[in-house]
Amino acid sequence: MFSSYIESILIFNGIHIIMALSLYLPFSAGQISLAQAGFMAIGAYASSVMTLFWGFPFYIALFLSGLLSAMTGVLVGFPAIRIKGIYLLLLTLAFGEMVRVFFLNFEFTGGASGMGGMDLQTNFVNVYTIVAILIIFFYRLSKSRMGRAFESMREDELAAEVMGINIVKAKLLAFGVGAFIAGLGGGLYAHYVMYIDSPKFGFLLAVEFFVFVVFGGMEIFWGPIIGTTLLTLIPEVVRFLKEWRMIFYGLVIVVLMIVRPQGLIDKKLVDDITRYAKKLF
Amino acid sequence: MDFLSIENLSKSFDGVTALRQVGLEVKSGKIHALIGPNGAGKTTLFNILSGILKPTQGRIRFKGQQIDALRPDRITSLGIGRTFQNIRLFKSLTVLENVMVGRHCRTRTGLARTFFSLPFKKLEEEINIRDMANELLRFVSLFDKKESKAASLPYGSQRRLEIARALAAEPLLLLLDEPTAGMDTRETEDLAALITKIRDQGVTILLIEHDMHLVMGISDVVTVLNFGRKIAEGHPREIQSSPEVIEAYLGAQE
Ligand SMILES: Nc1ncnc2c1ncn2[C@@H]1O[C@H](COP(=O)(O)OP(=O)(O)OP(=O)(O)O)[C@@H](O)[C@H]1O
Ligand SMILES: [Mg+2]
Repeated sequence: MFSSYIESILIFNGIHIIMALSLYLPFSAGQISLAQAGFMAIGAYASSVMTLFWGFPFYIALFLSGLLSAMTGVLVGFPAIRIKGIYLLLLTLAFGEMVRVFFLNFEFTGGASGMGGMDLQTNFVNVYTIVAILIIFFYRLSKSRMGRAFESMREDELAAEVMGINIVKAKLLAFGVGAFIAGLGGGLYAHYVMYIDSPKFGFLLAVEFFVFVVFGGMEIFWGPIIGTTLLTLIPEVVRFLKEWRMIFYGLVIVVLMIVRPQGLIDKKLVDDITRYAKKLF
Repeated sequence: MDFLSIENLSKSFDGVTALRQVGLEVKSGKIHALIGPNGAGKTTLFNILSGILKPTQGRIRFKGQQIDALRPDRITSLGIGRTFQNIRLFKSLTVLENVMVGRHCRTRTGLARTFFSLPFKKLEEEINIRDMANELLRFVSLFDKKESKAASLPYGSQRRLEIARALAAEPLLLLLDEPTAGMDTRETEDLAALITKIRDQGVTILLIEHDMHLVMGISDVVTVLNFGRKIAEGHPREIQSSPEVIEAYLGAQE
């Protein structure tokens, strides 16, 4: 369909979108997370163990590793219930690092030498099918009871609780489902690169996902999708940027904070585009 | 069975005692006003009633059930709704969405239902939520503003939106914390009519208010707090002529 170079960029872009959406979900409920790279690692390792050691079919392994990641997400969510802002950031960061160090020392999955030999299972079609399913999910969520509950918690957690929302349940749900999505991302990643080792899932990766979401905008799910795509493609087009990616991201964020603090895409922009599109057809 | 009964309620923040052994009975179907000078402990009482703060001492029963140890969302589902003195709307949500959020605890649709429902067919519950929210917006005269962001409304409208949001949970008891603060005379009159209308629909109202004209005009009972203590209670006329109350207000003004 595409040249293999372009195809690989698009596949990575799809995986990045999945990761950014996994972060966006707790974000939409006011929960900041730097744990997403950790959940991704859990998905990557768990799915590889299942396909490689236990001979599970890929899609079953993918789903189960998503569930495992979700369960971990709920466990992380518990201490996160009463913690806010910068402390939550630190807690989730510490969790991500714990996961990394765990896999570095876990001999069963190869320890420091990593894990390889998985089959190539991930392709353009299955990655973007999952992206499409997620778009449907987030679109429906944005117009639903739970979606509004999440947003109200982001706006004013105390008022949301007084309006009758069980914020403990809602936070665990947001964290758990976010971790599920990140687990899927990890499984797809592992069965594309076919070799994983724990340093890949470090702090910088978590920050990268974070930047995608902040850049794209946190008001609506199109933000992380567009943000990720731009920030994944630009360094590919402008070759030399690759080495300087983090610095480039830093600059982008600074400029954006000045020009458009709500992120590239906000609800108003999406509404305007929808209205314009409706007029055209 | 008593509707709402507060017994021997005390609350201290380290150093400051905001409430001292307050007892209060609210009767169903009434407008019960709670007045007192700044810092008297009125808002603190609301915060305890709605579960945001836990009392240092004392007991609260609502329709026979002890509620002083419950979470805010549980208290709301039992039927106590409120507004805030310092308006706390969901600013970037639309006016309509704010009211729809208020319906949360009376509805059920979870993530799975949302995701696995048929395409191009709105869930029945979602339609009901929207219909009720629209109706409430008409009730507080904000229907034509329903697509605006809550933050863009003028002050007085924001206060009415908070009332609509609280009503969406169908409370039996509605706590209003200075609902006319920042309103002009006409808006205040309209609000008095609105409060009476809400009471006539069977919702009991506990009202914190500084506008004495309004309080004396619409309340069935008035309770006066001063320095965290209940100093008087009775019919508005009795309260107006009570030397202790006059003293408390004059004392506070000096
Ligand atoms: N969360 C808190 N922490 C510490 N002190 C508090 C807290 N909430 C209230 N207070 C103190 O308790 C006292 C009563 O405050 P409260 O807000 O209940 O008064 P109020 O009667 O509502 O006054 P106003 O008419 O000004 O709204 C005040 O001295 C206030 O400073
Ligand atoms: Mg007050």
